[in-house]
Amino acid sequence: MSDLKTAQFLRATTHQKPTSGVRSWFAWFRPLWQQLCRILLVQPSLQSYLEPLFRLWQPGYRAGWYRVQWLSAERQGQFLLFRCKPSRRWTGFLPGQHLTLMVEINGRAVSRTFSISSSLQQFQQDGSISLCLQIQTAGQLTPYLAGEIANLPPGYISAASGDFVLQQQQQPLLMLAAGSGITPIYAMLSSISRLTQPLTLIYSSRDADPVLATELKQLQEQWPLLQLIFIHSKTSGRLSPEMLVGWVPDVAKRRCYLCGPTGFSQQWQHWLQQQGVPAQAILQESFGLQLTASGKAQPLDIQTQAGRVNTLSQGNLLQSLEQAGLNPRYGCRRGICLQCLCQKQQGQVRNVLTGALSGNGAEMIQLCLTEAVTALQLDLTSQG
Amino acid sequence: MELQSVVDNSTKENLMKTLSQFLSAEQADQLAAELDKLAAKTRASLGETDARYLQRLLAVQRLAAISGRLLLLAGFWSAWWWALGVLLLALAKILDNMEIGHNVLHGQYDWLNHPYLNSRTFEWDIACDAKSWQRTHNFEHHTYTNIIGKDRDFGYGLLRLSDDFRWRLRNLWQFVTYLLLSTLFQWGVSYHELAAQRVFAGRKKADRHSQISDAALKRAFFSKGARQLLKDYLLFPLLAGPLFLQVLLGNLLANLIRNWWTSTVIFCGHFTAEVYTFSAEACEGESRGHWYLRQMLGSSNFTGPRWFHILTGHLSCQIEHHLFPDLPASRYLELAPQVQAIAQRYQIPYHSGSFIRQYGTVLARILRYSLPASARQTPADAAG
Repeated sequence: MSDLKTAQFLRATTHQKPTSGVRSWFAWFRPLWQQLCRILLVQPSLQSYLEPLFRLWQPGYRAGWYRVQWLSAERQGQFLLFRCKPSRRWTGFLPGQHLTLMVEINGRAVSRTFSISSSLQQFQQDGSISLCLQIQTAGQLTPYLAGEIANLPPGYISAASGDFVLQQQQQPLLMLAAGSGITPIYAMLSSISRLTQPLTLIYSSRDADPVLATELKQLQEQWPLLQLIFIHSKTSGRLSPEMLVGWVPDVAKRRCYLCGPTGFSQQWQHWLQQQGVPAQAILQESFGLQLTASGKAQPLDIQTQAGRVNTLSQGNLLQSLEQAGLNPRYGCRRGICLQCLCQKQQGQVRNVLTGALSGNGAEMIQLCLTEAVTALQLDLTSQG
Repeated sequence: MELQSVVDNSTKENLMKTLSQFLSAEQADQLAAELDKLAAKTRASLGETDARYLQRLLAVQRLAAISGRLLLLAGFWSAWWWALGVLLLALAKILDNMEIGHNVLHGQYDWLNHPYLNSRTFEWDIACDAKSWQRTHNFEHHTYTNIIGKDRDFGYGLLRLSDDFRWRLRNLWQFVTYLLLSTLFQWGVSYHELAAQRVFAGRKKADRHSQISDAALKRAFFSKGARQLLKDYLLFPLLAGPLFLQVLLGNLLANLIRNWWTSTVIFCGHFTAEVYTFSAEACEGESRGHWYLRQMLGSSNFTGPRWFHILTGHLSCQIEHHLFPDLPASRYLELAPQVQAIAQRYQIPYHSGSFIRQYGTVLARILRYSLPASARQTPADAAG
């Protein structure tokens, strides 16, 4: 149900069409309709009630998801670039947004969030989008996506979401990307039809030949105003404030877009604000929770009714949350009753009983039975 | 006569042995290791087949519900159509409550990562709020199975099913109470938690703690109950227009059939002659192995064809269900002979028999404990 809800919410926020009469009537009718489904069908929606029947003759149907048709796959270093065509019902995207890709692996729905790395123009021309995903050797999904295009499992995507989108303003731009943080930035850049202001992109990567570099160089040939700087962090070290000021002396006047690992985005957001860039002129998105050795305390980022809480893991997750002064729901504390079931949004956990490692994506976990292997994002409000 | 003697032998044994007398600490650990291994093996084999089974089951349930509701209308032509409609609707409700609802709410299919077939968001076609049921059933009943005073499912606070309970006058007519409970079973299940918390009447028990307020309990009870009443006795009859009454009666009868069936199946799980009861002190700090042992001693199976097992939600394999409440129930039949073999090796009684026999011992048990121990005169009592 939560997935359906999010999908609807996303559709509502990503739809850029003006509200028509039918639409506002629908907005009024929808809660009533949902209530009717809940009462008459004892299901969250008519779709979910009929899904098992649809699937009798349309086995690929999944309520709340959009089917994609795989068009091509290409490997660039540590990345896989997919071009795929979403079903016609899919509601479109804004450059910079991300979506959730779901495939079913032996019956299990495995999902991961990706930024769309292609332009709006490409979507308008042939209805296709590109997704760029970093190969994670420990990941659940990658091994199944790395094969031949014909052998890929059926893919499903959510509606696109996210506020990290290119805003049309007459102001010089500064974009900082690190690693796979380049994907939403590339979608933004390639969607610009005419560049009338200076734009500096500083792209750090551990690879000598970073992903999407060829495509970026092609863009630079079209636009003289695009200043493109690659940093190979292995040889030339990390991007420093001195280097940045050297390239962009007027940094305070820039509108800034940051995308990279959590530490990277936070560090540069902080520095840019110190340089006098107003907070509303900085847009940032972070990702990536790196796999580290277990047994270590891991940072937990917990969504509660009262807001976000950050703490470190100690022992199993139920204990960790209680140590942090939170009040998670629980029952038997030994894995039987599922009272402590909670939505994990990101990160990896280990089952303390079986030793099994979870995936990195969103799924339900039992707090009393799991310990954090990586940094985690939990949604305690999912406990209801 | 034969049933009587079974009852008497088990009661005597029951009073004599405690968990550690059955199995030493080391034996219990071995038992736990063997059963854990069995569970791990089954868990590793879960996949596509189980996902497909659930979808097929849902399709059958939806088809039964839709055709049942339509046939209720056809009662206009012949009462036989109406009767068939009632049976189909009852079948849909039984499948929804037992093989689907009970099992999904146990988290047996959480590994699918399905948006609405998961223990957190699923709701079922029964008066009981799913969350309330999870607290009393998944937590209390499955953690404290057959511990007198802790597992309120043992007799539901209404029936005296062992001499561990003080005899009261009302126990004299408890067979009638049982018939009423069976008829109103869905409301009994729904009111179960409220009764335990003494929400409306009675003094609160000092040792009961609840993670949810009385107000929230009442809200969930009335809201789910009202939705179900509204659905079966107002909205669907109204949709039938002039056929209001025959649809209403059909729904009522379908609900009754479901109530009788589910209550009968559930009573056969824990109230047969052979099952053991336990005192809270004897289970204090029990090991995982002893917990397993208690589940085996406190549950009983019955036999039948495959379709029969599906109609019971595989609660016909109550022992396997209590050992592995979170493994998909459709696997219990293949686990049963393996569990039985393990039980035999450790000389643990494995209670199983035909449905008729097991139900016979349940009825005998209800009648037997209507009388105080002192007033009972059976050959076994006289001899012992």
